[in-house]
Amino acid sequence: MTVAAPSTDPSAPVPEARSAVRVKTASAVWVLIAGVVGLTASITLTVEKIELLIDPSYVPSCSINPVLSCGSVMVTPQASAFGFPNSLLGIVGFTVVVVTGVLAVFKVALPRWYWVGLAIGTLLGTVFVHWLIVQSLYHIGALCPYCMVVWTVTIPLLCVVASIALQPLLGNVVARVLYQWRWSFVALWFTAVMLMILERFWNYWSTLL
Amino acid sequence: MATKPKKTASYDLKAADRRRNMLVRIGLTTVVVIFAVALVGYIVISGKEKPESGESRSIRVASSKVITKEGTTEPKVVLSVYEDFLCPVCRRFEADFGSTITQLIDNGVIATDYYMVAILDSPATKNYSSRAGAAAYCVADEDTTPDKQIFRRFHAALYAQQPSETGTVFPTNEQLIETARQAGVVGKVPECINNGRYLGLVEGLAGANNVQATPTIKINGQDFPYSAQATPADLVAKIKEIVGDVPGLSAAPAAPVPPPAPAPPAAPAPTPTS
Repeated sequence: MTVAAPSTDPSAPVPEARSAVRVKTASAVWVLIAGVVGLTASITLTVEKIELLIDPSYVPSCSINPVLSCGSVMVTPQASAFGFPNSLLGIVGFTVVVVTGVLAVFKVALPRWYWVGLAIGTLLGTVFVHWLIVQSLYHIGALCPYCMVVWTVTIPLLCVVASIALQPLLGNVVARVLYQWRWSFVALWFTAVMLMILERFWNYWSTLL
Repeated sequence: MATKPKKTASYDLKAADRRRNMLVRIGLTTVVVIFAVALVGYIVISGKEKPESGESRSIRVASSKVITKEGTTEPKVVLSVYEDFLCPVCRRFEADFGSTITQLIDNGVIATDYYMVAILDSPATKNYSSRAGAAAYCVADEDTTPDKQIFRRFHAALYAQQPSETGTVFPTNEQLIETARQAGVVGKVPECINNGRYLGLVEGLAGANNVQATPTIKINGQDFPYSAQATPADLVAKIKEIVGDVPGLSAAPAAPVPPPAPAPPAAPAPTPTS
């Protein structure tokens, strides 16, 4: 997401000692899991895309029913928002997340600016994910399971990474309250998205009952 | 030694505090989530397939033996009728043409699509047009008879008891529900009328079909010029052009017209306005 330029500052050791961030094991593990899951989904989507390019009649493994179908989603212009398949962005981004997760799990101290950079990258990813959710629900009218895996990991990832990056703000009362309630926000976000999916495709879901 | 229990105590207090705060957060979040799920679930399940304004939907009345286009199940002649339950000219049309249309339907010559539009809606008429039109769709939904007998009775009843356009008393939803009951259907009709499920549809129906005046009559999409001079025989002749001379194709005598509420003075307007 962000290019982590190696610090060439000669006085680096001193500020690093001050700005190195301690990360709780649970958070570190979360970052690693999110990275692995997101990366897996991105790679699968890319492979499916290549299969589809080789053989246009190929039915992707995730085309389950009229609503859950990545075949119909992958061929839309929204699936290549920047002129190339979105999943390529996912591969690059989630690789950084995996590496960060590994370093954090093994207690390698990373500087504050690194976490801030990762948080900004994740925030951009989150904005993009929301755009994709709206497109998928209200313009394309189908859900792609692997894409939904990416939505699902991105939001908690933002929650964890932002908490790490913004630790210094915890003296602030508002920031503290937001921090304490962060998982509630995530839970509400999941509820909202699931209800939107329920409402949008109710005509289909109701036929399954 | 004395400080030791104190320390533990204060530590436990904080932990208990934290645990309590967390339980509060989990509890509140759960409540909000359950509330949201229940609310959306209720809306989704109760508001099933409310048609949107701007959509066009008709109530098709046809006999099972209707003449179809060769090799299809599409009726060969579809008569489209755009009516407003409050329009006096529509009442006139129903009185003059109703029995002929009924006969043509029953003899399997035509299918009729009723579009109950609302072009006379206003606060002064208590939006009777759209309420009655929407009620007709509710009745048609619940009408399981093969050729929409109940809807036809309801439709005829509403024209028979049409309120004066310039009057001050208009049937309420309760009265519409009662008329539906007398026509032979209850089911979900009261709920459908009271929820206004079809109000949006009916309000947008004239616009969606570009209907400027009622009644507008079309035969297979072609305008049938209806005026005070037009007779059922004209309609039959037009239909004969399409299907040829088939049995059961004839005009029926006009129904004995119930005396029109306020007699229109010499009816100089031959054009189907309002």
